[in-house]
Amino acid sequence: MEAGAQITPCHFSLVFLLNMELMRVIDGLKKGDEQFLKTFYYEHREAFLQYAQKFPLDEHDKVEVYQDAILALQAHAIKGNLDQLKSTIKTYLFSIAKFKIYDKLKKSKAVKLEAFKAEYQDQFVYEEAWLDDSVISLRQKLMQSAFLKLGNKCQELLTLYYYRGLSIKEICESMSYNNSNVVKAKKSQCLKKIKELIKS
Amino acid sequence: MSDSNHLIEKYFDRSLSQTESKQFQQLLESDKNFAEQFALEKDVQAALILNQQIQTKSQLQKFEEEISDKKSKPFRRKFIIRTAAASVLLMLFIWSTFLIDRPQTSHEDLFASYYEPYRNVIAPVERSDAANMQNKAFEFYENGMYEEALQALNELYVVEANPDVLFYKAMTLLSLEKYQEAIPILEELISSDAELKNHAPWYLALAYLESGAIAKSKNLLELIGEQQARYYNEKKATELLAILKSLE
Repeated sequence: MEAGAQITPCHFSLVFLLNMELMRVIDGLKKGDEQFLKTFYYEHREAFLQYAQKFPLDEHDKVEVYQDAILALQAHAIKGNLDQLKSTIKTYLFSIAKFKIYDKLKKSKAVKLEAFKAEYQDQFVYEEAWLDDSVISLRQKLMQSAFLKLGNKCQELLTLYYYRGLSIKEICESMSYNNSNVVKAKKSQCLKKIKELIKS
Repeated sequence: MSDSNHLIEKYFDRSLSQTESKQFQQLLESDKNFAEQFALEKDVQAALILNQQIQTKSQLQKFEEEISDKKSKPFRRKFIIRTAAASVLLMLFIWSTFLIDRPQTSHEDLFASYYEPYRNVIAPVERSDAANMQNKAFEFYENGMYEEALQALNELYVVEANPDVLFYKAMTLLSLEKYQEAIPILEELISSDAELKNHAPWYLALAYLESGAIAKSKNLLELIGEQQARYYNEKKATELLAILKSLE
């Protein structure tokens, strides 16, 4: 039935609905909305724990992997990596989680990546970046606490720009600045402040 | 320069065209200043993401706790306690990465920061008399009524000689600051066939630490860290070991 399916109006609307769903998820993750996170957490938890049964991990580790995978998914959403997603969000989430599992097993039993992939190759979306995207550098850590010491305006501006992905022009409107140049100048100022804070 | 800044701007508002993307890659390789500026801004982005992740992590932990609370019936532990625990974890998480810079912490503080009574995961028993006793004991335990929990666990162990009951007895003793009494129980649990025997080393290391047996504590933490994924809390063990070493 599905083989060689053409784009019929019905099919088209399905794609449309899937996209709507994806956008809703991306938005919820970006905002860190409590209600959304809770529903999302519950929605995939059982399926994940079931799925993770084939790996030699204890319950505590499985839950930890699941949580870390959601955090990684959130980071991908913020960076815009999910905007062009080809698979479903669940496949993507489970793929990240599988990498996290691999990471855990690697430490304990020296599992080789190739062997791991060969043994568990089902619906596997593979991205090299997942191997090290959870490593946080010292500078990032310092910046994270420096950011909290910035003034409200700087925090807002940097969040809109780096986190929400708004353009300078959009920020100009949203924060009621006179023109784009003012926003750019303010942004450089804020970056400079962060740099000074992490030096001190 | 302003042209290259423009490219960075486009990167962050995700409007780079394909040609601009190529140009961007070339600049990254050829222009050191450009690469540095970009790395700085990427780090700011990573820092903001980290900020959000810290918040999200504590939310997810809360959902998970709600699930295990539902499984083990009584839902009376106050929200404030949980929020406080979450924020302690959060502060610890932030603080632990800066430990290289500030080694002025005492061993007592460390026990307090790292000790958290293990959640109730013990399997329900079939026999109704023992089941009642078990429910009662864990109700006390989960509500932080450790004196009562200790007595109830002792009684329970008489009718249900399950080594996991001893694990919770050790947790209770630790919570009551009776470290010397908890230590022999935990030592024995490690070589027992308790379900939770792999959890015992972490708590034993904390008990050693608090009772002043620093060398023993460090040896055990090292073992937990080395045998990754075998024992409970291997990451925290490595983290705590690093702190202890920095205090020397």
